[in-house]
Amino acid sequence: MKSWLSAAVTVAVLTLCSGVQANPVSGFLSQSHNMIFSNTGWLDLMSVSSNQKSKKSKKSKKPKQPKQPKQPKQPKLPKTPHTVPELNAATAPMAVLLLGGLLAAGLERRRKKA
Amino acid sequence: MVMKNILLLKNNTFRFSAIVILLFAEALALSLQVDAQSISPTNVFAWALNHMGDMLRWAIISITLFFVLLFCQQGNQLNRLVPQINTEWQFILAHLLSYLLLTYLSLKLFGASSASSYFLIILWFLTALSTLVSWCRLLQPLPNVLAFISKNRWNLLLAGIIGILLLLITKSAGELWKPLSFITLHGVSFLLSVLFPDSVFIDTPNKLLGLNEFVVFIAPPCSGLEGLITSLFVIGLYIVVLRKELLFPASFILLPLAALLSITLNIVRIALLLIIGAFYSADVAVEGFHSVAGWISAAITAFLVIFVFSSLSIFNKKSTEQTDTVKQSGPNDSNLAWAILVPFVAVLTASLLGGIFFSGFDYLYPVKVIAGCLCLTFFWKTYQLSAIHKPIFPIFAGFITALLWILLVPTDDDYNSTFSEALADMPNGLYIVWMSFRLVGFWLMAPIIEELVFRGYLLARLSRAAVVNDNKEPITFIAIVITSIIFGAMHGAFLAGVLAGLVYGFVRYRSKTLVEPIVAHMVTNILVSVWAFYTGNWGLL
Repeated sequence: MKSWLSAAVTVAVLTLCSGVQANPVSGFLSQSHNMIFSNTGWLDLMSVSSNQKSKKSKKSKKPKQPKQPKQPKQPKLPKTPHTVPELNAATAPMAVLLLGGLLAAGLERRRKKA
Repeated sequence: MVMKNILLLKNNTFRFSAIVILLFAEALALSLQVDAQSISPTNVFAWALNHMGDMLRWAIISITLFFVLLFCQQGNQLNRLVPQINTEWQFILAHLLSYLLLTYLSLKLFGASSASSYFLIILWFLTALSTLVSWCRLLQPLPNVLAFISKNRWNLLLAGIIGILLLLITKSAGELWKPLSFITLHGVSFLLSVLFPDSVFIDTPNKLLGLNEFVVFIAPPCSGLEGLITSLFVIGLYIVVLRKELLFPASFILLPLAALLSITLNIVRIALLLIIGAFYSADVAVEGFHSVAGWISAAITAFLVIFVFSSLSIFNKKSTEQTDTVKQSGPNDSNLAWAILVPFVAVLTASLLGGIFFSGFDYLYPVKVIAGCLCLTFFWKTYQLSAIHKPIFPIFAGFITALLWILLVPTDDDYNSTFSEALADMPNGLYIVWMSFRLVGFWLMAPIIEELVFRGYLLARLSRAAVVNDNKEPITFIAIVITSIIFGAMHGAFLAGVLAGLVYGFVRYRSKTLVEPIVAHMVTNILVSVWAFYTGNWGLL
């Protein structure tokens, strides 16, 4: 049982690992100044609405946009490339609950059938 | 005698919580004043000090994981972890003095412009150690603390190693994303080339992909790794929980299947995004579709694997063996559990799908209400909710929660103006219909579904009790805390949500029925909506 549990926890950690990159929590896990919280913006997590979070995540991604490509052969040059995070932090709580709900429903369905 | 014991327990839990909060407050106060990276890593001690942030992050992650492991292994015995606190004032004084000295040394050390002396750095480490040890002494005599550590050494070691791995992988995650970005870029390009041969633009070195004038950058966060690992986690957990019912090694195929589905769906997601952006609306593509499409892909993957593929006979043991394992796993209360979870999943799915078409204002809220109410009606008899006889306490609890909610949720002017403008732009008929659905959803549907899930299903499962309406089995303190944290995370306003969850959890604990927390939740929502109408603070809803 312990080995199973260890495997599950390892996978959970890897999930967190990838999730934090697109999540406001990354401000807490990956910032590198103060001893723990160099940016007090993490406190916003305590009260900020999902609407605000969405705006923040968009703002924070703007600097990541690359330079315009220099390819004269292309017939149409892009105007402004959009960055598209796969798992948006703003909808994360609802989506994670949905995944949890699906998982629980799947388990209960099997028990119900049995 | 019983009352005295309860008071003692509450008093003890209160002291324990206060001591834990004290440590967090101290660490927070210190970290907001000083910057560990201001120390130049000129020698080994200074280097350690420079990386203090990483060390503390590692400690927080590892301790959290340690308690998760402990909870998984010991479950409802966790209440015993709260030790008998009998701290004398001398120890409190010693700890506070040690902390004050640490603060003084920190300000002196981290604020110094020149290189600090060995002596000062070593003194800082010793004081930090003394502060931590004196804090431990507030909880228990040191031999007891050492005995606890010794007893749980393997869990501590495992949590510590995973904590280190987490930090290392987080720092190098960018490298892992590169190969997947390549696959995604060319996968989407291929798919679009088949559909629109002359309109696709691709710039491989810069990872740019376009359709007509709409161009996206396949940045690391859109490579598909997040969805891939999320899907693997959900399916991995599913396999672990059902290990007695599934056939091995055949069931391991479910993992690569989930991975393949996840990568494919991510390619489809970006292709759809480009099509929407190029031919319909760039705003809808970027602000609507993209914000939920990744999660929808993950949910589709989970749904297909859990409800379709894992049901195939090649992955399952024979039915007689399954029945035996299910009987061993506890009471068969799954009819009610299923009836509770289906409306919840339906409403969340409707919410996510609604986000595809609109951003900012939830025009499709009525769809969510219709989905939830249809499911509730279908399963209503299964819930067997009884009439409430003494409504005073839940009404009072609902009133208190409403007050907390109004006080703690900050005003969001941008959201309020967006909400007000959207309402003002609606024709009268549409306004009445939309607002009616909003109120029915907020006053009736949400309290019933949320209380059924959080105070019905989740609280019972975490307390290792049966999921029944009038549950006489004990609900554990730790289960109330965990459900409240999840409840808070779901509601965006974390602190207010957690406190509301604690209040409803207490109502559930006291009444032993689900009706009272539902009534309390309804009262809260009615009062909050009245306040929102009165003040125009729509962010409260």
